[in-house]
Amino acid sequence: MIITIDIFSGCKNPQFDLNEKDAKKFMERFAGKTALSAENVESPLGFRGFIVESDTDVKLPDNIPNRFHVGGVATSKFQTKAASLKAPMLSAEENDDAVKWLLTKAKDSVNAEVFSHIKTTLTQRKKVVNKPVSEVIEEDKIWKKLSILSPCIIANTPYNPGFWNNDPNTMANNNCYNYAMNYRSNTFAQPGRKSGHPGAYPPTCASTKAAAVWDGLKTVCSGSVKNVALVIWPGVDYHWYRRHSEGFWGHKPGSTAARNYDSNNNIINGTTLTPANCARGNYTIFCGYYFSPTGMVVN
Amino acid sequence: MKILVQMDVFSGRPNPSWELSPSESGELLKQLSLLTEAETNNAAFHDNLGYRGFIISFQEDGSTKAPPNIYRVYKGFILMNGKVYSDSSNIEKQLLEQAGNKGFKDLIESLQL
Repeated sequence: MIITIDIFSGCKNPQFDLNEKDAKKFMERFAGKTALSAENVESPLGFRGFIVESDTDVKLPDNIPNRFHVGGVATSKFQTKAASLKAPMLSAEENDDAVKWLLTKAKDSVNAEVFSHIKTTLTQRKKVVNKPVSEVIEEDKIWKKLSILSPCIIANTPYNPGFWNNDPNTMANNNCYNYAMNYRSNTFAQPGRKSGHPGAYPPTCASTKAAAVWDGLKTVCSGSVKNVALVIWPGVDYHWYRRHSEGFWGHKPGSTAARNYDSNNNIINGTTLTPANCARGNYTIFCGYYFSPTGMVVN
Repeated sequence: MKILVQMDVFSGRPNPSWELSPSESGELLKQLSLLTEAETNNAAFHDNLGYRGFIISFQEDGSTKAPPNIYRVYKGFILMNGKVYSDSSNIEKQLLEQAGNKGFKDLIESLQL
């Protein structure tokens, strides 16, 4: 069975195969139901659902054509007709559940951006629905499981110190956390402030990392991320580094200029010199390497 | 005119900073006005991790016109309006003492200056 993720406008939609066992399991969801054909599905830009096509001559359940849509939104014209159908359509919950199940089978066909877009689409669709807490927790568990399945994509960007250094206002009001997470907030960003979970004082590896995790930092690589590193001046302050696509590491000590060299003016080249062993002055504790999602916002 | 002093030392957390009282402001302005330009080119304003000296900034409050630029104080030199002066009045030492009195004694001791 061929599954096409109906999501792109210009590019070819991603496709993957369901093996016979999974195809059979998937089709059980449609027993006694009516499936949507392409002309009965809304066609907005972005995620429109999955196109399911049988690639064998095995007979599908009654009311199920050889090519149908799942996870899309039925047109209003079709919805008015739905009440008179002999077999009902999948409910909104059944639809979303089918989407999540298919995503678990998509493997490498779904990259982090596509996954994130589908998740946002589904979340927005059900914002108006009040659900029992137990259901929400269960759904969250499923999303977390799916997130773990997202492939790790290291997306470090080229070194561009001018962005931080050319304007005095930008240089003065953005610190190491802004630089490492690559977000100019002009607020001298603090870990956890964006998410409402500021790090405890005095800063430690554990408290600073935990606060940054609330903001979106990952300790395990998944999805599109950049490499970052955290160090601590014991009991006093913290400092972050970010790796660039050239391989070396950059950082921005407080309101000073962004640079790619350490306190001894040696380039933190990423091979012989890294945040773990470069000259760091009072920042003597190396906490570890972490992953900052592409597009992470700090404040 | 208000005078704000910032000890430039942190990377992540906001730097320790305080506002000078009118008498402290008057004394600092007097000392700054008496400084002479440094004859050496050895002034190096450290800008990496750790202690980077003091930043003096000015805010208009309707009384006196504030200088447009910040001043930097570090290891015997003072940078004012693009020119380097010798810190013959030991302004840096006075600001360190002031920082100690403002609650940053432990921090200053840990710097081992």
